[in-house]
Amino acid sequence: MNTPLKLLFVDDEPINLMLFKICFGENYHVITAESGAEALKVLAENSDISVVFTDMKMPWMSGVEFARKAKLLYPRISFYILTGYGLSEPIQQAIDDGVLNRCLFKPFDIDEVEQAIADVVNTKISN
Amino acid sequence: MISSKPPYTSIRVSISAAIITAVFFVFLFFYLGVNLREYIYEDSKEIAKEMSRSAAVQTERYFNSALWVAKSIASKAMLIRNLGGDRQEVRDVLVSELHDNKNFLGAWTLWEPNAFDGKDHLYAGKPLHNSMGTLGNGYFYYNDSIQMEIMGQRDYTGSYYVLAKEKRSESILEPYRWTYGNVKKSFYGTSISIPLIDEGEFLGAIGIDIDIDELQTELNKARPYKSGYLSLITSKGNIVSHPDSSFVTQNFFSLISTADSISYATFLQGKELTLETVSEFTGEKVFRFFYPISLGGSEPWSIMVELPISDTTARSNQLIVVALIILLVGLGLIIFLIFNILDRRRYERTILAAMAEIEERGKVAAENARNYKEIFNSTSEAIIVYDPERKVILDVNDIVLFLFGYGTKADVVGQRLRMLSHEQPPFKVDDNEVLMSKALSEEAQIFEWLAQKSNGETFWAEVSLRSATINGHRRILTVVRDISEKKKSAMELEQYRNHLEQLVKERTEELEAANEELTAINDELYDQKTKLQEAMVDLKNTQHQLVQSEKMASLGVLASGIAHEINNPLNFIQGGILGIENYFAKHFPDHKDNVEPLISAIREGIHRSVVVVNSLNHYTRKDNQTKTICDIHSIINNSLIMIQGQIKDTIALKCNYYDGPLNVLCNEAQLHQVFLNILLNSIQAIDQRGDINISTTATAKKVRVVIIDSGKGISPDDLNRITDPFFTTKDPGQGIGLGLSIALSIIRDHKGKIDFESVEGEGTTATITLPLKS
Repeated sequence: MNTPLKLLFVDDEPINLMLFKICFGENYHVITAESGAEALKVLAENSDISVVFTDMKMPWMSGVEFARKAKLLYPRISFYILTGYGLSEPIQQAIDDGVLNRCLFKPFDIDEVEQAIADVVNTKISN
Repeated sequence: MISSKPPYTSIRVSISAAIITAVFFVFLFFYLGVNLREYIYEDSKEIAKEMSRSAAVQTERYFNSALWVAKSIASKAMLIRNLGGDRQEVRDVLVSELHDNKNFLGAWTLWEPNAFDGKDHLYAGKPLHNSMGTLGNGYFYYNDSIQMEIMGQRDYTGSYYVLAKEKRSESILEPYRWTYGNVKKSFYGTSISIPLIDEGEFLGAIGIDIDIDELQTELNKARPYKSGYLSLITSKGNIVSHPDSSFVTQNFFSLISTADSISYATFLQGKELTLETVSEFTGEKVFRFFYPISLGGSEPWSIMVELPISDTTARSNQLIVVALIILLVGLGLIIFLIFNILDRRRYERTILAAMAEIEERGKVAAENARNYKEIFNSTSEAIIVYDPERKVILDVNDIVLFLFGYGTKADVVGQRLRMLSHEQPPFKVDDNEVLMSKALSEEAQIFEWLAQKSNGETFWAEVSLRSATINGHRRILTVVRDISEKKKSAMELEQYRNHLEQLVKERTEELEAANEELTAINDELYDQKTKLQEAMVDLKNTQHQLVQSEKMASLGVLASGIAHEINNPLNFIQGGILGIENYFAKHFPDHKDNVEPLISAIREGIHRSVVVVNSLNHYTRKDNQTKTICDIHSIINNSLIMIQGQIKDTIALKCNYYDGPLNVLCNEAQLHQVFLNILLNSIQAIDQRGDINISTTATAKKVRVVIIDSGKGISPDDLNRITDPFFTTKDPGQGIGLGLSIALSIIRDHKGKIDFESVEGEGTTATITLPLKS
């Protein structure tokens, strides 16, 4: 493995951001953002980000809103929702529209997250 | 004609004669009464005088007889003495005389010492003699027998002896009270004593005792009238006898008024006196009458008679009363007579007036007969006089001839009534005899009839039959009126009426039809009302379900909100423990065994929390979730596969499926969840051994899945609550009480029904009904 895969994790809870970093920071290059706006900024600065995990419920901009904006700008990036809620209508719609790959649920299952990342890697390889 | 001559006697004269007669008789009676009164008064006085006179004579005789007896005894005693007789002979004379004169009380003799025979010394102290031995014995009546007493020393000083001795003449004593020697009874009376003198020498005395009570009894026999009485008064004025015994022994002179000098003087002179005075004894007005009694040589006593004047006038008063009664009766009779005469005179006048009236009536009747004929012919109504017995017309007036078209009365009179009738049923005279008989026996009959004229023309007539007595015969007066015009208009009216009736009938039918229609509508409305009521019940049930759903929806919103908020902290824990695990693995691999159980515990905690929170997520509305058509059998089978591991070997599972697929439009995952929940409950309900039977059936529109287990069952109380959220009977960690609540929610989303039946100790039956998708 050469350079670690770059991930962006968006969540309005700093603790979540910290924990995500601790859990996955060892294997991946984890960048975090506290809001959709900040995430968009991060994406603009880091063109090599492959996977984005975003919380759904955030102030000012929801995870889906952010993902839709970002997907338009960066179609090759894979987006995942990591939400404490169930599979809500906007999320389902976003999945159907191809904006989101999948919806993951909090509390995160480390294997599930790993699988999601692996899926992205595999897709890219197959492409 | 009765003559109306006035009576010969005038009523005034009769009455005056009666009154005059009455007055005359009254005065006559009064005159007689008053006059007679005078006579009677004088008469009474004479009677009183006569009676007192007779009483006085009687008394005088009584005393004189006593005097004579005394004198006789004296001369006998002197003879016995002079002949030298025995003392006993004198005593025998006394007894004998007393025996012969029972109206005297006693007889006695007392002699001076030795005056009888000079042998006093011989007799002193001997029987029948006193201590001196003088002759002195008295005999008296006591208890109807003659008793004897011995006279002694004491008697020589008694006035009855002293008076004789001193006066030497016979004397009558003032009344006094004495007792006989050996008898206790005291006597009131007087004594007549006779001196015994021989050659100028006083020898002794003989006496007769008289009982005044006896005398009084004698005198009272001659009592004048009712309240008149006699009284005996001595010369000294002592009252000897008086009906009022309280006056006896009182002195008359002290009683009478001092002014009454006449009485006083007359009395002393022993003369007769009649006077009217107020009695000192009775207080009444009386005739008082004195009559003297001369007793031998002594001063006269008097008999006083008092006779109340009211008594003497009583008879004349009676006469006046009788006169008055006769007067009143007489007057009553006269008044009755007067009234009787007046009454008769009145009656007479009434008869005369009645006779005059009859005469007048006779004239009027003759006049009426003439008038009747006139009216009969000149009235405007046709009148037929009919004989109901012979059944012929007796008479008709001119109008009948005109009305029926006949020339003369002869054409009609004597004919049958039917010649005036149409004589077609029902207007046949012979068929309507009953009208005639009713008119005769009851009242006038009025009816309509079809009459016929002489030319055969008919017309409507109003006929009136009335019973009448003409010249003493029973007749029917038949009055006929032509009512053709009236009849015609009546018929027109009848037509109008019929027309109206028809109209009314038609309208009524229309109304009835309308009414029937209304009734039908009403019934329909009633049905609708019933349906509405049923719908109302349905609505209420639905409303209840809706409220329940809304409750669930609210709960869902709340639950998913909470879920998210819990998921974040859970995320912290999950991340944290992952970090810790990695940290230990990296830096303290030796401690892995020690830390691992702790981490597992935390992970279990997170897992359970996640299960709860995820379950809550199911309440969130998922209206737009995609539904696909699935065979219910495949869902059941899948569910069974998923719980395979939990089905114990001791549980016998039987499936009895409908032959063929049963498609439903559903969210596959959710239906899986429903069956998983129910089946898991069944498995958990079976303790050790048991059956679970699953059967599917279908109707035209519905699919029914019945799951029966033979588990421990659910109590009735719990059965109602098994679909409530968080209701559970399981141990902690085995279930959170949302399974069936979610199942209900899901089935309702699918427009289905879920029912649970259970018998505690026998098992539970779950019935799921879903719409069939054909």
